[in-house]
Amino acid sequence: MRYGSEVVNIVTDATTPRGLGSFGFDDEGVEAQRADLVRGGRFVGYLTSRETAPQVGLPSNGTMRAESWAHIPLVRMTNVNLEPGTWKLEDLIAGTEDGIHMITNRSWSIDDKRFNFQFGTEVGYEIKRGKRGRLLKNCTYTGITPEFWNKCDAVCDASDWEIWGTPNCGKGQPSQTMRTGQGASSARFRNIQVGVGVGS
Amino acid sequence: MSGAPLHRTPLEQARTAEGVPLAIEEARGLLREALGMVGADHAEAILEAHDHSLTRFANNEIHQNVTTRDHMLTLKVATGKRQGVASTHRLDSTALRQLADRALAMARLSPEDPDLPEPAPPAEYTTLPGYVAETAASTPESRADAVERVTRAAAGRGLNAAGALSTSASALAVANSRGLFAYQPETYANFTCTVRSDTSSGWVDRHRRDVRALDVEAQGAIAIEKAERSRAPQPIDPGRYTVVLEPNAVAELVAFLASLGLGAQAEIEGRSFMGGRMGERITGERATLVDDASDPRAFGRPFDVEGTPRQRVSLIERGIARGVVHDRRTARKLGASSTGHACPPPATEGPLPFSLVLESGEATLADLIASTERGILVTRFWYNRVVDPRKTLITGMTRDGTFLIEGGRIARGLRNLRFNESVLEVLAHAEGFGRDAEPTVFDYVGNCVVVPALKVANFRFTGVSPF
Repeated sequence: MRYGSEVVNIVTDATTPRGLGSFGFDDEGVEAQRADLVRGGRFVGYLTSRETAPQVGLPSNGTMRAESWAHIPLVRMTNVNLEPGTWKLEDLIAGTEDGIHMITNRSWSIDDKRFNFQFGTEVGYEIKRGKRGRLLKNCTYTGITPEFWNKCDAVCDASDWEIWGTPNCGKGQPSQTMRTGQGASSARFRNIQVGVGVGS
Repeated sequence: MSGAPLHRTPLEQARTAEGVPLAIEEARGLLREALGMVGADHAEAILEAHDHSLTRFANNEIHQNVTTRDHMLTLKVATGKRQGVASTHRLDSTALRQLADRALAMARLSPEDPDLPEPAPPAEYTTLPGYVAETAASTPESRADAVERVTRAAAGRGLNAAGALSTSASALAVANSRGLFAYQPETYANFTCTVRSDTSSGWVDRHRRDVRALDVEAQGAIAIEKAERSRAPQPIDPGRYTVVLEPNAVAELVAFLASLGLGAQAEIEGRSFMGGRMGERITGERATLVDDASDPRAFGRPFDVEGTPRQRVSLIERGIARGVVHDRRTARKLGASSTGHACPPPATEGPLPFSLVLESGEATLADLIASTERGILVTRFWYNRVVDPRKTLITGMTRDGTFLIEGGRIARGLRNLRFNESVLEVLAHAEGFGRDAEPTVFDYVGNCVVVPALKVANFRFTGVSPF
């Protein structure tokens, strides 16, 4: 299945240094590891446990995690990372005619099948003719997940890559809270709907 | 303060005949002992004990049945203006000694806090019946019986049911070095169920003190009906529509007001939608919102975790901003009195309303639908997040039963829609208020929102999902 453009490579990696979703082994004793989820834009793998992995013909990639000894382990995110690409951030901005450089998500909402999403960021800067300009307020972007990733035409390299994280990712009944990581560098997406929400 | 360790009964024996996980005298003894170990100017102790059981089902069969029994003692100590907080899940005398030492060590390491309030004085509390022995007595078998009626009905129609039936019994006790002691036993029961077809889903979520009042089979039937009626949902263009929001959908929106401005800390931090607008009209004149622990639907407690008696607070009255809730810290800072709405430590958001009640109207849900020439019926909103806090602007998705209303009737299922809308605007544009309010309890801080269905004009949808 084509999930994104060819520059999109996504892994689950519980060995990422400084990742909030890093650990030595999961709650079934499976060693922490790195596995491909999207390679060259194609969907290639799932997060798995010892129970679910055989159903897709794979060994567990060690993502069965419990909040504490008193909770039942669940298959859930470790560090899910967008791998670095080849661009320098300054080249990415210089190569953009008309866009917005959005920085740091502060609000995220997505439907129950993970298609329709809307994110808000802390800051954004206008990009005009390859130069970063004025500061913009209340930046938001929205789309349908696979369409969005297919519009990705550039990912910055390791010099721009950072491991971000969420200390309170919620899942399960009874509810369990877990630390998860999300590594990424800046990336460019073409023709994305922005500003929705704050207008009329 | 000093005191010899008290005789301690094993906690299983501290359970009352009605199933309360910690009897009042046991709680009093534990808190007295813990406070007696603290050599500081002030000390406060919060003891929570709970039994929580949950039967979860998916693919029309039960796959998980869990019971958690736990207790936690939190100790807040103050030496001068320095405060330390520590907690433990062990209640033997050695653990209490270690707890007191840790809290004191934390206090000595902490910077001075100029706004640190003294503990609350002893008080008299209203009696609020919050405990139903039949809920505490719920068993895996009784929960399985109830769940089976729903899964059988779903399977019989070729549908797939998933969800959980949970019950809990708990006791909360608060004491401090000024001699205050407060104690409240409670029960809680919840049934939540999603029923899916190959193209649609339906959902219910009901919260009660009494497990018998969940009416699980009837609720399951509602989820089944919603899944069947919303089969093969059609897309509709985003835009502004008249909507009929069922109580759960309204609760999701109104709950945001709590953290966005109904607690005094939001005002102190300058981020409140109420800031500087007290006495002004902030929403529609039909909107009246109170925090009222005495409302029997609202899962209220007679006191907060500081031991302050919980007051009824008028928050929005006929659209006019009237008040916010306080704990002892915000009250001291703003020269007010605590309304008894402290949150448990670390209480980073300050005080919050716990029993929000939006005044109901006269219309049934059927009336609201029948009076709508063209509109959208929303079962629930999901993954809702703040876009602009000062405007109370929220985004989220519809889910599990979104329907087109035409000519006062439900015409067909719709694909799920994304909304971006201000909660205050929703209340301002509310044309119809339902008669039958429902409570929704939110996991986050255990607060409850009691709201009716609403018919709202001009509600803004900004996107659509492919399903």
